[in-house]
Amino acid sequence: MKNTMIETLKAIITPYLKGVSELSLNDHIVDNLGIDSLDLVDILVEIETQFAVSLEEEEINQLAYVKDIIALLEQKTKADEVCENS
Amino acid sequence: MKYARIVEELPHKPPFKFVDEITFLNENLIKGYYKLPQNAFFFKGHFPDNPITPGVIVLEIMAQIGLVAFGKFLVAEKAYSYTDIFFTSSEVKYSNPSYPGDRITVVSEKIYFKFRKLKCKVTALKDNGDIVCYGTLSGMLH
Repeated sequence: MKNTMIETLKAIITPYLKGVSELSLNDHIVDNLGIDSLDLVDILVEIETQFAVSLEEEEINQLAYVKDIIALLEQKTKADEVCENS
Repeated sequence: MKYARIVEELPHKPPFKFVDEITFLNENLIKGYYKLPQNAFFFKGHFPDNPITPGVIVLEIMAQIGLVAFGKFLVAEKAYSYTDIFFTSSEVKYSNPSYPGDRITVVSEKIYFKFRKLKCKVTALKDNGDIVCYGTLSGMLH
């Protein structure tokens, strides 16, 4: 499940990479990947669509590393599973 | 928010205001136009004896109507504390030239308005239906 999530996220982010060909979970979104705030919004909107989640401005302000996005997505998808099972 | 008030409240002023009227507006779409004056300052040099609207001016018309005016409406609807959207990026293609006296109608369709960014699919057309320019424009709230 997590591996699929990482692969999907990589596919979303890769077209926006500047100066690097691959990304890792420990990469800083701005400092290592060269993604600016404008492109980051495009990425987040695409993440919302592909993962069927809704992100809030307060949540995205906390995102610094690729792994932060994964953690947020795990939290979001788990919350959805709990809602569906209750 | 009334159409005329949005035009009045745009931060741009002559000779760099390129919005005459907003003709349609809802949360997904805006339409408006600007008639290129025969004596506009940019026609004097672009080009002498052969006036053609510079591409950057067409893009500015698209941005003022399709992003800034649209953004004013959307910001008011969402009751944000921000007041204006600043044009930040574009990816456009130019199809046909425009000349003094042409009326440029801009149609801007919202792709998304999230996380303080407005991204739109924008088209600029002449009255005969010829597309002058089309593409995507983005802006950020400040």
